[in-house]
Amino acid sequence: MSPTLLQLLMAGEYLCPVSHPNEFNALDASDELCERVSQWLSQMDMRLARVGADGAFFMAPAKFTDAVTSRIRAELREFRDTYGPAVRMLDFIRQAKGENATCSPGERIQLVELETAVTASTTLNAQLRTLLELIFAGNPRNSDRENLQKLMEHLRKDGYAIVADRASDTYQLTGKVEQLYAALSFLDDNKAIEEQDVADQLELVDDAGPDTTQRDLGVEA
Amino acid sequence: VSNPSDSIQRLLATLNKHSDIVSEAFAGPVAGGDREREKAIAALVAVGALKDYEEGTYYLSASLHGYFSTVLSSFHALQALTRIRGLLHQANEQWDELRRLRAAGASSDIRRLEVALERSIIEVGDVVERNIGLLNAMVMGQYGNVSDLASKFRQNRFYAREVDTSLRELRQVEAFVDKVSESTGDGLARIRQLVVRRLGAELLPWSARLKDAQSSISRRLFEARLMERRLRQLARYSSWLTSTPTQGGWDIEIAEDIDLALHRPQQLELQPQPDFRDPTTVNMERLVGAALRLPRPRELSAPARRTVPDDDVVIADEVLPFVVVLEPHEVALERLGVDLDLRAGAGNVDAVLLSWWKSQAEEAVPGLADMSTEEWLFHAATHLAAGDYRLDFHRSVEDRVDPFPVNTRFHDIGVTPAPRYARGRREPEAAAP
Repeated sequence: MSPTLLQLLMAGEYLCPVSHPNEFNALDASDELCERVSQWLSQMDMRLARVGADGAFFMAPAKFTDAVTSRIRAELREFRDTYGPAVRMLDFIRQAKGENATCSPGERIQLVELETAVTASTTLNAQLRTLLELIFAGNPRNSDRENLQKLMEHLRKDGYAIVADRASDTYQLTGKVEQLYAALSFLDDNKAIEEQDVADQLELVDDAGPDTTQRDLGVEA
Repeated sequence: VSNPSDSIQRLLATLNKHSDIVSEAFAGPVAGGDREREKAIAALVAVGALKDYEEGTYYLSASLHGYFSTVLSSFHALQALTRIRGLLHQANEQWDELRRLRAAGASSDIRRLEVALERSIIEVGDVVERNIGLLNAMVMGQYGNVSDLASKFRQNRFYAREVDTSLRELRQVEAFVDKVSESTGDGLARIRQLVVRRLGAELLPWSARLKDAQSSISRRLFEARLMERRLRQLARYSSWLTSTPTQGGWDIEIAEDIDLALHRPQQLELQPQPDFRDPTTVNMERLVGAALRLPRPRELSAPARRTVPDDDVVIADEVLPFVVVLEPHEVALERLGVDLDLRAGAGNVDAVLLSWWKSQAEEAVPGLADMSTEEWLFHAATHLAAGDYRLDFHRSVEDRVDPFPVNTRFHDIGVTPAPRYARGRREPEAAAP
């Protein structure tokens, strides 16, 4: 049992094939190792868990105590601060990449691709300006490229992306985005937002193919 | 009448001579140009390799394009799988006719029909193989012939339908194989064998490979739907965040059976501590290293003079000696040390712990007899091992035969001063003048 693996889990990291391939593969290949890690974490009333059936590994509480549920409840009450920045930044990437966006673990995002889209669209440019208040060290005096880099670095520091290739300024989304989607799905299940609430902004057709849907999703904030 | 093989050679020579134009036509329609090019195109049109497309442009003949696509696994977007229904219908008719001719005894046409049927059977096999190759190239290659994601999804849906059709057609092939296999006694055993070998035996592998492709396609469709849903979620919540700036979130009751993924792990602050129970060298080195890194203890300053009345101070006028009272086993150990020194001086360095204890326990060391032999051996061995003595555990033959001893059994311990003792490090008396 690698001390690094335990240290990463204890640090609250999500272990996915993108961010920590060695640790992820070791856990994914061995139920016995998962069991041992869980046993070790149980000393602190924690255990090993996964996002979905085959998503990233992370450290979860051994039991859902009142403290745990209270914290989750508080995070959803403060959704704007907890999840808001990541949601808005990922949605910005989705719009910038257009029909090629997946916003899923493993997706590669080239800074130059975002920059080209922002340069070509005044809407995206304006949207980037509104995001500056959320982006760490984002500044209207910076160039678009600098602000886009700050955006990606913000996502990286929050664990949603890694640098895949520094030379070409290419980033890659990690398995942590699955956690974000799990939260959004939970909110959907609890009808936090009615489809009608945002129908004015989004003309989405549920049963349409991804081609039309994604085109329709190109909304302006 | 010209020899067919000569005609084929001439055809191939023409194709070879103008291979650059054939290659260009595989990618798309070709147009004329200088006289040389026009001549080449005319030659290719003459052998049927190129067909008229529009005024002055030509395309590669469908059969040549199909051949190159199959061999090179290079297919254009949304390329349909080749239907085998027509070929099967043809093979069925040929089989029925063959049986009729056999029954009528018209042997002159039988051979020609047999060759035609063989060709049909081989073609059915080839087409199925080609279809599977096309599917694999498309599905495994992530529909690399288009870069647009939406277009990839559309192709995925298209091929899902194509696989369904192919699987239905395989059932028709199976029916044909059954029909041919069941009819016996007609003198067509060779054809029957060909059908069973080329089609019957391949049905299961073909079906399995098609189903593999189908499962890949289904998985991608599921992923696409999931992704579609997620992108929609992102857009909706992002839109909500911008359109309702005064709201922070939602107060939702959390049940105990919610998705564990909603829990966001927090860093657990733990200070790693060295394990003092671990006697390994690595750990001990770490411990020593940690101890060396500790700050040096501050020297204690002289205690402040107390400002108390003189009658509070007690001044002792007598120094009491501090007497250490040794336990019997400690006395015995000291004696053993002296005894070993004496033996060493006399050249007899060896001693045996148990016999020594027995000799002393009677009267030499009062109270030593109250100690058990195990306690004595354990106590003496531990202390002697920590000093400059080498211990030799005496074991019986029975104890030695155990190949995997859990505990090393012994009945006595021999003690010898370690070599450095013998080198005189601890012989100050002998060395003194």
